[in-house]
Amino acid sequence: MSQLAEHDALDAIQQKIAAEGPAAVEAVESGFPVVDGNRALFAFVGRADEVRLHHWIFGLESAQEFHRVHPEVWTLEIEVQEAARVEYKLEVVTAGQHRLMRDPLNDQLARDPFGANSVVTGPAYVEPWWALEDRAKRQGEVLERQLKSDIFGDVRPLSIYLPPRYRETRRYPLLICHDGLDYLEFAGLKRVLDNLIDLQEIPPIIVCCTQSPNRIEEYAANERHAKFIADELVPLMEDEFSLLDGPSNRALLGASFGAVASLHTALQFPDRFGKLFLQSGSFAFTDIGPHGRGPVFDDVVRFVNRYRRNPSKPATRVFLSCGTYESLIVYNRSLLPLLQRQGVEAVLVESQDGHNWENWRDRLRDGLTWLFPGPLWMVYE
Amino acid sequence: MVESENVSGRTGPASVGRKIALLGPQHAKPTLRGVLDGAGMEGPFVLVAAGWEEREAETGALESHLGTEVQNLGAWPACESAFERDVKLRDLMFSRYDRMRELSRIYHVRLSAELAALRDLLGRTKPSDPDDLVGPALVPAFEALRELDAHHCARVTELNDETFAAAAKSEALKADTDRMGELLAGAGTLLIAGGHVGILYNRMRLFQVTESLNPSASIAGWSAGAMVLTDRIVLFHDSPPRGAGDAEIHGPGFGLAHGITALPHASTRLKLEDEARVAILSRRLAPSTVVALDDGQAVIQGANADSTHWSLGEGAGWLRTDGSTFRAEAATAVGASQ
Repeated sequence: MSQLAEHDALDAIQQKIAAEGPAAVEAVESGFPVVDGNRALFAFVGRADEVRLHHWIFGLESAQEFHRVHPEVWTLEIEVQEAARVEYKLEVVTAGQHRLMRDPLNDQLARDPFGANSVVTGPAYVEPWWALEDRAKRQGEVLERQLKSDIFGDVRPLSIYLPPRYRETRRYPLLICHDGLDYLEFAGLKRVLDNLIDLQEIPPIIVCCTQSPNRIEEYAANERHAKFIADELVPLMEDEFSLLDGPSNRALLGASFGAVASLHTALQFPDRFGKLFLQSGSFAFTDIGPHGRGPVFDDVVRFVNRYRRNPSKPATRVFLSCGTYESLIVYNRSLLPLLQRQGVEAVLVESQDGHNWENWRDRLRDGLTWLFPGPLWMVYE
Repeated sequence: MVESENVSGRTGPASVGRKIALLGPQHAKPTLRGVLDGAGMEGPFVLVAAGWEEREAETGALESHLGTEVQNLGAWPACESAFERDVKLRDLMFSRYDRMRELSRIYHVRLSAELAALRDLLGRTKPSDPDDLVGPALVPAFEALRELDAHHCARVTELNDETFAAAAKSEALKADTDRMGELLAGAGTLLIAGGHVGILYNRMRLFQVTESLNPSASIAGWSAGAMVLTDRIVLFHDSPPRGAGDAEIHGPGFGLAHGITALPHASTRLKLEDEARVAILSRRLAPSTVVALDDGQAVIQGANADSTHWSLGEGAGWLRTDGSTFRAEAATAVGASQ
């Protein structure tokens, strides 16, 4: 992907492609899409009957048609917002065969548990510096543990982040992270923690990363899962590590269904978890009619409907984040005042992004520093 | 208040004849040994590392770097122990903490307004325009800000003096104060490590560290350890994750490094490329010389038989009142026609 400053640069490229075909595409060394201000020009080279852009932006047509501008070249120009990050794939139709593929002209990829998407970003989007590895900073460590769960009747892997200079003589807050192995792999959670702790933006903290083999069921407001967290995982952590006491030092983090699991667990065990970090929570509800999101949402919708009818205070502080390109933004906006009316200190941070790991990574600094403000102003090491 | 470029950086009476080194962070690029050798600062080395809090005893990396043992005052555990034995002392310090927070809140109300006004005016002024009506308004705006800083610092000084005078009567501190006093009286160089600047200052006051120090001993402090040696402790961060990032006066320092304001981690914590921010900070803190100290950098007084001037070590920065930052390519006397 490349950024251009010249006005009408995209028109010039379009004209060149129309005249010269694939050679003009190859001549753009920085690849495609080419971003000029708030416009992005995509290209596809190859034999096809139709080419479409799939971008999963809520509110827009999810498949936008490319136009053939040369016998073997297709282009599409779209608008990109200033700080936007858009993940996409190309749908190429040839002789009735539909292929969904990453953009071969774009090296910029975002990985997730299901593979990778191509990415286009607006002119103001910058990958956060605090998510990049900095070997000059002190490094925490990640321990691997197995938790034999009586509740689930199996063994659960845990990855436990210990901050740099962890000492048994000191006590730490505990953050429990749903889909934690994915947070480590796809959201760079360890790098973020190392950086923010080193910068004194958050205090040294222990993070227990848990992963469910069946998250669709277990994270969907599941009582066994809540019990697993409160009665098995937390006691294990309290036995094995030096933790600060009290709900203000117990936090839950999760994205999507993981956010539902976090909220549900806190409500099931009042006064145990004082802080919640809920990213792109799947807090779907139905004030009227069916929810239309398929059976995997049935338990979630029942839970959220119940909560909306009879709300209570799940925690002292709740940080919500959600992308404006997600349909879930509606539910998250709706949850904010509901929480605030219960006396929760709650904020919602929105971003021009979608339901993906890099969006969740990019909001980690906001959420962690709000929930666990560090001694930034007072410590100069 | 004089509105002029500061080039003095002269020492006050308390520090005449004493060698003092203020250093930047020592974790990534330790330079302390070289600075001590270069300035002729000799042992025995006595260490106060109370800013490290519960890690105060972990001096292995420091001793390895220095190639010699240090005598650790152990001010952190000594204070914790005193608080356990003397509840009145603990309550006295807790009360001070609460009052400090309230004073800080009061200070912030005016500080954010004064800084906003200054930034607004600086954005409007056109120095090259002979008819610039905004320029003359800057002088009183800076004066108001400096007056506010001075007022806040005076109130904290008063609170500190009352508190630490009362604390000095505590029997729970006496044995450790005496023990530390003996070490300090025999010190060749006092080393002051960084960490939590407030805790470091408090513990040094509680155990009367500067009062007990051998008058001819050198002093080398890094990061927070450098900040507490100056006239006033300035807390700063231009882009914190939350809040406005307005630098503030925390309270008085020990004034041994007179005429200097030390800003460790400057490149990380400050937008040094933002000339307006640099100019505001530098002019606000004038006549103090504002020094940026990144990893391993230093500013030294008395290193070259000249006990009255500060000398910037290689790389150390001087934040000038025009908003630029002068970086020393080699040892440079502060104010020497940069």
